[in-house]
Amino acid sequence: MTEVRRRALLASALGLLTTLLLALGHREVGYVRDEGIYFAASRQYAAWFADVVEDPKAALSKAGRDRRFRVNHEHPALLKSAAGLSAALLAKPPAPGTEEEDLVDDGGALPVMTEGAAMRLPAQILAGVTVALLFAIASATGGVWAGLLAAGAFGLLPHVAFHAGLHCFDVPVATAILAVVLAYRRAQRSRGWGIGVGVVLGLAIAVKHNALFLGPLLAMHHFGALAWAKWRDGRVVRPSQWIGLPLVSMAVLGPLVAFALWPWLWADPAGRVLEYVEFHRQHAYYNMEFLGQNYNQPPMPVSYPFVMTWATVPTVVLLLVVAGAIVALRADWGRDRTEVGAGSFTVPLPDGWARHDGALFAMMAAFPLVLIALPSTPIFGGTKHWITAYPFFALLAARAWTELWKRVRGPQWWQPAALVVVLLPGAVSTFDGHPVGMSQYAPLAGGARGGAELGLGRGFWGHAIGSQLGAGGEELEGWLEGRTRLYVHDVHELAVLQYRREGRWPAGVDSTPIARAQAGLIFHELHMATWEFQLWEQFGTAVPVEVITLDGVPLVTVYVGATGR
Amino acid sequence: MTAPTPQSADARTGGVWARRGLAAIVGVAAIESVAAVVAARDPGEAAWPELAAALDARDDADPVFIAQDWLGPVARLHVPESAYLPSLTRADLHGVPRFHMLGWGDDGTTAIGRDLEGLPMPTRAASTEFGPLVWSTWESPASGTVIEHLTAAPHGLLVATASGTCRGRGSHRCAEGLVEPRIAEVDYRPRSCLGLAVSDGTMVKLTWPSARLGDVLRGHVGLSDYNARLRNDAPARVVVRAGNVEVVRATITDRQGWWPFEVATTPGIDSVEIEITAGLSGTFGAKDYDGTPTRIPCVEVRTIARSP
Repeated sequence: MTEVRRRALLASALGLLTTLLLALGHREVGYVRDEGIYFAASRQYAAWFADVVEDPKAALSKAGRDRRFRVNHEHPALLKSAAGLSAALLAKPPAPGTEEEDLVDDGGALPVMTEGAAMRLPAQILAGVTVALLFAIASATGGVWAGLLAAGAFGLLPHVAFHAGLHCFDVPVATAILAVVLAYRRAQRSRGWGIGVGVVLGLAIAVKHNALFLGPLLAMHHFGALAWAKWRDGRVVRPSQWIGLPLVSMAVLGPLVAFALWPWLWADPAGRVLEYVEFHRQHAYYNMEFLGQNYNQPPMPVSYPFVMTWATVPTVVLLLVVAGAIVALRADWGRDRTEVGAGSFTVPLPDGWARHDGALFAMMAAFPLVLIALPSTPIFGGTKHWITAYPFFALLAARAWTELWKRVRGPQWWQPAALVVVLLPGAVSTFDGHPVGMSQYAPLAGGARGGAELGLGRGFWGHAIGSQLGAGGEELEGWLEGRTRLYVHDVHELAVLQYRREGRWPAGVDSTPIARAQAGLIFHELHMATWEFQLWEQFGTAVPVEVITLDGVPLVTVYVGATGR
Repeated sequence: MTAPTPQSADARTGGVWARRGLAAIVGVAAIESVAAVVAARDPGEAAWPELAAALDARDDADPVFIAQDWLGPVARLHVPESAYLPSLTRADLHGVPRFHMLGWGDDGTTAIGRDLEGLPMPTRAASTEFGPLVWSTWESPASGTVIEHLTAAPHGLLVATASGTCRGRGSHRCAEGLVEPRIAEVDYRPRSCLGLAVSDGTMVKLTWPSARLGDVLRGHVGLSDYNARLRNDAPARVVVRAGNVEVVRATITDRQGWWPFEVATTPGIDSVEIEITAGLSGTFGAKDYDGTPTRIPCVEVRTIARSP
């Protein structure tokens, strides 16, 4: 077996293992707020594909498209379509009485998992692809151990592991952005990839809007690399190189592919694109707790993404990232004396010309954090909003690892042993934090207790009751002791619907407004404290019947009132 | 023996630095691994029952406070004494001469500091550790004692607006809305107070004709709750009279949080009167103003004896 083949097999195995762990582990992760609407949208989008098969003319008409794609049209359709199709293949039928009326809602062709699990699967597969890609890239230059470091420096982060298993777009768009950057890298020297990069960019934009930043960023890198070649290395740069096939492809094919993959845009494209852009530009502000203070409107402190990154990513990984960035940028700085190749439109940076990978990866690692740090940026939320930086963190960490081990001589077992030690903090935190990894903090921040003590958010989105619902909501039912009117606080009604569809919500328990509730859940967030106090007043007690914790830190508190209220 | 070439010297230097760098990386990782394992343990599980039993066996009825907000639900689950609503919703530490604090590696110094409101730091009389949990007892003789919590047990309270006297005891129904005791969220903390859910511009007059006064009359006004504060910044006017003498006149906003006032009084029976006028009680949305009273001024008042 060749070395390349062996690494490809290992990459595939790591990717599969990642997907498998996420698929199994996330059965315990409750449905987060956004997932509820994505589940509903995915059902509709999948129904459109069924419509196309059954009655193409009607399905492809404006009315037919809009009927299915109107729901959640503030995000592109690709991942939701994939999730819907995954459910159409693998989901068990919904519980009786919870079927949707305007579509065929009787489960998938091979009903082996819950609908939520089936819909989460595409994102989990993409997370596996990320891990595989990181291993492949890093191991190609630094060997297997460097590859494993890159894979672990991404996959063994509690917040990444949490988000990677959800039917959301954050880790999928991180995968897509990594793929675009890798394609762009190849595109500088390959005509095929020169065309391909536009297609990959289109796919990325069809996952989430973060990818819209890639065109300008990669163009900046392209121009910077050519400027460097011309003025620093004294090379002849032709005008056609400046334009470059990769840029043309991204500018032309990227939007076209994204447009083609989003039927909502097919009618009134300009108006709907503008509406889409405006939605995100005017994004509703979220409340974020940071160092004991609640922020609802920008500006957040500029330090926010940087402190949160330190508080959620093991310091050893961050040290390697910084070291890797320094090493890579220093390598970029070195004068290129190779005298081969001449650039052209299709091959703008030919063999022998500096590719400036250091600058490329460092830019991609820094940009998401810098963007969130800008005082004018809306408050989008927490770490998931710069999770697109983390694959590049992993590549930079692997770069540092590779450079260090090139210079260190010692017994063969040193490197794997050191690797285990370096990945251990993230691994322990990730497994300890499961299934509420979003509430986990890095070891040197003190873990979950340290985060609470520092006044950092303990979680949001009302997901932290997933493992307590079990197969039929027995544990929740037990706490309620016959009470049927439950205030579910931050659990989205669509998440409740999803639990019901999967038979996980206790029969007879209804979610009700707080004033009518006989029992209540409280997900601890600073700006929602008022609801907890209202329950105390209403039930005449502040003694909970249950507290769901992570390492002693309360995440969800359950209160019940006197029976018969 | 040959002299080393510059190149090999470079390589050697690089090797030394790489070895040091790796040692540092592995060292940090080792420390972090230990920290990760420590963070993943919850020694509280074993410690809470011990603490609860010890606290249960104490021979006083002094209030039990929780040192860290985040610890609250778990503390209240295991130690019901810490869930006593008047303790949880206390206004400050005035009139609390002795109390207990429960904390996770914390004797309560920070929590006490934020509730002192001018009092000298209490002295720690005792402290016992149960694993990571700390039970501390504090004494604060300068805080005095509460003679009467006027808004907590509003017997003898008269509530009136421009439309006349409001009806009811405990819960007072006025033509402009409702005045009743509640647990209000002000600055993310629970406060026991008298909430004034009345329409825009209503001046509510709270009168205790025969209050038992001590050395000071002390109280707070806050605007509840968070969501309402976000959507309404209008100020409120507060006037306090003790024995028919105006002693406080202020205009407050929600930026002032849990706004305290304190005036010296002559011990004895006399009247206390508080007037509160909130300019706007509703909330502004993206399109219009909803006048439903949701931003609620909340007031608490106590009479306190400072002298022993």
